[in-house]
Amino acid sequence: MFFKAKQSDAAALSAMVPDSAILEVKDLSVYYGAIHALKGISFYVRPGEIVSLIGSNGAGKTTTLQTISGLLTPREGEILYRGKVINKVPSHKILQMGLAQVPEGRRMFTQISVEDNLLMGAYCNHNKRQVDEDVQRMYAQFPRLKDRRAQKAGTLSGGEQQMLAIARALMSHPQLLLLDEPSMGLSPVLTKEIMHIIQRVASEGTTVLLVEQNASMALSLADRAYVMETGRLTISGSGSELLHDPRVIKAYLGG
Amino acid sequence: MTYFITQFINGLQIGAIYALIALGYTMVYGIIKLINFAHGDLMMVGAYIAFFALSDWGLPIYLAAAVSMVGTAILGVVIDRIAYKPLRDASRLSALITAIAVSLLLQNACMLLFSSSPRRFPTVTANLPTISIGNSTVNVIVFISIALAVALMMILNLFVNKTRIGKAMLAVSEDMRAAQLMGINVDFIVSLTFAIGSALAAFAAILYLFSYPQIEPYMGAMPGIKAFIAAVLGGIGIIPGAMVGGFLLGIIESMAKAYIPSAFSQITDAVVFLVLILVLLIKPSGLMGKPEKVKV
Ligand SMILES: Nc1ncnc2c1ncn2[C@@H]1O[C@H](COP(=O)(O)OP(=O)(O)OP(=O)(O)O)[C@@H](O)[C@H]1O
Ligand SMILES: [Mg+2]
Repeated sequence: MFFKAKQSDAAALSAMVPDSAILEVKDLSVYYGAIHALKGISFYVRPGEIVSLIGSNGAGKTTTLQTISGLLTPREGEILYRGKVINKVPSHKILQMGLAQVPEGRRMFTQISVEDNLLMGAYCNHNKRQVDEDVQRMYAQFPRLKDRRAQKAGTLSGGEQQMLAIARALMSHPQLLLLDEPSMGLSPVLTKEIMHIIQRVASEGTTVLLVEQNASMALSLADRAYVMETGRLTISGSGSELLHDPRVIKAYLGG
Repeated sequence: MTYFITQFINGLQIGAIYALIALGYTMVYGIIKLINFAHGDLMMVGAYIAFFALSDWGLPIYLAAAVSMVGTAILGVVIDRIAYKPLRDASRLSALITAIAVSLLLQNACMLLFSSSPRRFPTVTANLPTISIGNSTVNVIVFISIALAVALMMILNLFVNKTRIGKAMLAVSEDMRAAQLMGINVDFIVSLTFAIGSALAAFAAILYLFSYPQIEPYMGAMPGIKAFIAAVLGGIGIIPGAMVGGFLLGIIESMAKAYIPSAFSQITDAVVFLVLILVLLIKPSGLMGKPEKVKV
């Protein structure tokens, strides 16, 4: 173990960022007009990890992921991806750097086919042969998508759309995958399936930053996790530590 | 009966022109939710460029058309970059007012540069044969115009639905942020949309001049507003909608002109606006539009 993260406050944690972090967020402040949505958060993700960010409605989880992906510009602070500051990099270039996102609410392109949605995920890959191979690989992993390849994406069920959203993001061969509430609106069975998919993606070498309201799911998957409350990171630790933390149990695990 | 057929053909011709202009409105609206009120004036600029290319530079008509399309496309992109892009996150009303300002600017600039006195577009159709239908005749150029417009629309359809960049346009128009997350450069797609829309308007201008060979700074206003109505009729933001709406409006207008007694000829334009009012009342999302999604 490089070091053992203890439950500690965010400031202390940011002082312990390992050199090897693939993603490092430093004192990030984001506003929507006058609304101060992120109030100086710091965290990091190491290569190969699954890191979860849990928190209730309006905590700032989506804001965090959108800022990392370049859809929002931070007022203060820094985002380092593989050592490079990416605050000012436009979002389409961030994807090309190997950082993909499965956005909240799936955000399918409903008017085009399932297969075209996958192809949009590979928009930046000009190697047609490889793209075709990747599509086949996704069909192998998500057989239900294969059956529905010609259907408009808008006709898929919620669960199928979530699979497609993940598959679409994987089409770009990301090194770091951001997932925003992939279990939202899904049955327990489908949530389990999504968990397995995330584990498989991670085991194949993609680093994962997972945002969830479903704390038990997110914490049981996570190597490490952070709790977010109204724009601040308040608790952090390993997934199992947080699963047993009385504060987390009380607030997020229905204890 | 032959009267009806010739009027129908005329309707198709003017409808093809409306459809080409409507495509520009609808594509731009689809992507950035802006009604580009300067779009009709881009058609007017396209007409001037074609005029100078033909009469001053002595280019053949197909080259003049190409020059006009490229020139107008560049102007469309530049207008977006300078006037609309800074307002991307502003209210829709600010952008709309800016579009009206751009429209006035283009009209007045052309007035200063070229004066308000109309110029006559050189006749390029003089040696073309006419086709007789019953006891009336239709110039072949009418059929050529319709065929060219339809061909262009088919190419556009193929481009949008079959190519990677075309699909990216659809993706951006459905969900700009999700498209950015796919690595799509939205600025490029918006510029491309303006370029295509403007080039189609220039092409429409040339088809228009074949039948109404007068060029003046306000010539874009009427076809512009009618094409806008065509876009709304078909469902604004929907590409096939603009095509259907354009042809339909052309035919309605042509029939109104043909069958409303000449004593009331002033009201034929009103028929077109009546169509707009009816659409807004009965199916605001347009013929091919889906009812507005209700956000839960
Ligand atoms: N576009 C916006 N304009 C203004 N305020 C916003 C906007 N988006 C989010 N906010 C505010 O920022 C705060 C954080 O929102 P965010 O969407 O990041 O929360 P979240 O943790 O993702 O919540 P949820 O779990 O409900 O998705 C909230 O107070 C929200 O109201
Ligand atoms: Mg959220």
